[in-house]
Amino acid sequence: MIALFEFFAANLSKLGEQVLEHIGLTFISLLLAVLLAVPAGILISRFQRAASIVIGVTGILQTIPSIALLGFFIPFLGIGVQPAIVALFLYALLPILRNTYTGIQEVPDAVKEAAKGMGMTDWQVLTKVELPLALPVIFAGIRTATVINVGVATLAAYVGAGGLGEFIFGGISLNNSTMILAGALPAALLAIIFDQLIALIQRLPIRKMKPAIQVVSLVLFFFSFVIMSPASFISGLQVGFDPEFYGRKDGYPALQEKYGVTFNTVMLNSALMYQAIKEGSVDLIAGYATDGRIKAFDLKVLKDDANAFPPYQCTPLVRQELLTEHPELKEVLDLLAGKLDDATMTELNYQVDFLKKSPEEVAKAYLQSQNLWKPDQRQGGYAVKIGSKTFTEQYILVALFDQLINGHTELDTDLKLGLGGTKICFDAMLTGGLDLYPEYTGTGFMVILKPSETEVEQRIADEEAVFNYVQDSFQNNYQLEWLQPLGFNNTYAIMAPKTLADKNGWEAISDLPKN
Amino acid sequence: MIAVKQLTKIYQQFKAVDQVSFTVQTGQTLALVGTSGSGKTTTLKMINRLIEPSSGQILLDDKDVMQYDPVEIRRDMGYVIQSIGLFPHYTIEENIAVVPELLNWKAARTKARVYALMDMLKIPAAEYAKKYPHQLSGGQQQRVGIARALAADPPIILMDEPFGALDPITRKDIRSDFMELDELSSKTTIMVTHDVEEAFELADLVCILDQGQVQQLADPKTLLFHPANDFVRAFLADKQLQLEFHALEIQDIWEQLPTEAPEKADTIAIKADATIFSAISKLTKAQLRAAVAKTEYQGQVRYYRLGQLMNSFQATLNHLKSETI
Repeated sequence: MIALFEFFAANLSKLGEQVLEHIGLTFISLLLAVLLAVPAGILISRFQRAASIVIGVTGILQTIPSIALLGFFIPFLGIGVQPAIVALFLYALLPILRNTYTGIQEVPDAVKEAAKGMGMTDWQVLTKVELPLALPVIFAGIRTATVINVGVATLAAYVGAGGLGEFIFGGISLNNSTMILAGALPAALLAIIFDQLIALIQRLPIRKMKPAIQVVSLVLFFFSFVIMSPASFISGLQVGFDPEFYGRKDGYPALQEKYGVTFNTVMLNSALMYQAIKEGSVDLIAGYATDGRIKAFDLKVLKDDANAFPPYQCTPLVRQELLTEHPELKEVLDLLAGKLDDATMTELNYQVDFLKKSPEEVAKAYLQSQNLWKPDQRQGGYAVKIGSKTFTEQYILVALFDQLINGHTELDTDLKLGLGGTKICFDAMLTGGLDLYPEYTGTGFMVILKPSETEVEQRIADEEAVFNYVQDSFQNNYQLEWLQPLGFNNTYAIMAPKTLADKNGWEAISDLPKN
Repeated sequence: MIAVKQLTKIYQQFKAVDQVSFTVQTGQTLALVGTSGSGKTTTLKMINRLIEPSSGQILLDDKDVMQYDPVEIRRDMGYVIQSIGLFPHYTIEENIAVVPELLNWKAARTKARVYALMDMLKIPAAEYAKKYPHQLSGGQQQRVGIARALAADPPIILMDEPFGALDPITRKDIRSDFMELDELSSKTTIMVTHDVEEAFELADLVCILDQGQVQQLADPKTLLFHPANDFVRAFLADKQLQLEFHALEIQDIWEQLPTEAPEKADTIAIKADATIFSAISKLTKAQLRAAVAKTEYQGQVRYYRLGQLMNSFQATLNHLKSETI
């Protein structure tokens, strides 16, 4: 709790900025959704046959995962506020549209007939009878949409639109619960406050407040424009970082320290980052050295000539308890030790990301080429819970582990794919939710152990020193075992589109302009 | 005055209303009577064009309704429906004021009219003006429905089963209060009902419909004693006795009445053209016990014991029946 207040105190201006961005995103998307969905709801209540189609389509929009939706808009809208607002707008449509339609439908026929019979025009029936009576239901829809939007707006951080998601996803990536709370608590509060505010508006005697409403709408309208003017018009190099790189000591801070650079950064989801650089929305990204998209999107990795980034050797991280019970597991996993070098791993990643092969078939083909593949012989033994983070390499590694274990032992496996970050995987290991997942020594070192500056300085350039340090600490503190490194070093890599790099003569990070 | 000529409504192949014609004079009430699906409601709704006629003509004081904007036409026609359809978000006062508001009456005029109507219909404005419909009983709500229809003083009143959803006692109360409204004498009223007794009590003219066609259009007495066809006869047969109560006037049985003078002074006056039903229904329990009736006929006033009156009436009925059979 104290840590949280300290964090707020230290990041007050950042927090204020994020809250404002969050309110802006939620509010504008909501306003646009109301402006479209209420008239649309009225319209489909007049054309019954269109209703099920329109509601169905908005329902389908609702089911698209937010990241997919955001990624879909990057080619058209770039990164920043616009794709976030469009996505939020689409999510807000369904509850408002459906409630408007339902609200009008539920006005009793007798009341409508009486209204018409009295000599009301269609417009008068709508504005004097149907809408006032449907209003509570419409407002309930708007409130639902608001709460959904405050929640989904955290994902805006993935496309560089800011908001409280920056703290939340930064915190998840950096294994920092205080930071997560610093984003999540204000977001929850915002949801409650927005909800109550709208409930309050609903109770206002609207018929008697027309002038006030006009003034307020005008103010809100201008406010929207202020928010809408996006930060992404800034000139100079645009650099996209994911929250983890942005916050980690060995990430952007190390880059700034070792090279003396300052960039215009936008925070992006690691999956959307490559899309953004491919579409030219950003000029530089910090990716991983073995990423298949380096090959696929024709990117150039700039050499880390000042050794800013620590070694990231990948090994299976396993619970000791399991290794004691099933020593054969270690033997089997060690079959891969040292076999996968950078080039091999990049190739495997490329096959999945660009050639659209499944991680399973790529893993099988690789194992077969190494004469390691054996048919499945699982016999219903203990199911080893294998986890992966959300990027391709992890999926391939898990597929390799899975096929090795099933082919060479009598153990069973239980895959838990796509866990959202280091913290989630690591915590699951401690609680027994996971038995094993592929982890990188640098991540264990910097993110989980968080050693002091001097300890970092002493070891950072030496991959063996880092490995020994994490092995000792994990064995003693967490009862977790790092097995033998698989071979590749998936460290951070600053990359640019090859054409851009060649045009500017960038070979190493030190060739980049300083700000 | 309203005249309907060869009014027809065809849904696909089905003739819901087939060549219906009638004329109702100002101050008169026409009841459209028939079984479910006979086309009576469709006929009514074509008059205020909630349903567009397939063919035919509707004349309102010689102006053709079809030549006008339906919205304008409806503001000249008060409309009362069975399900009442009050606006739940409006107060009683606002509900009744709907049409005056649509016609842009001045606020003071609207208020005066609404309050007067509320008092006339026995929902005192002082108590009910600011209440909402859900706070009223069903009977009170229908009184509001009637007040709303009368609010802008329209020349035409259309009523679709106005008392249909009410219990018999409430129905009788509202009906009699409705009939006592002075305003009705200057209005043309058309009402739909499936209740023949109600039609006989309220209407000057009854139009019996079946399968969209007019079976007979006449005053109650003619319908009873000179039914046009077997349908009309069968339709009325069930309630013949009650209907005769409503249709027969004292003067119709005058000759059969005894000529003795009354023995007691506490009598009530009944006009010679009152129906027997209304004569009886005006008596209280106490009066009934020893009641005598006073009748006026051709300038003379005579008094009769009710028992004798009833005996005579029964005799008359028997006589009339043997005559028609």
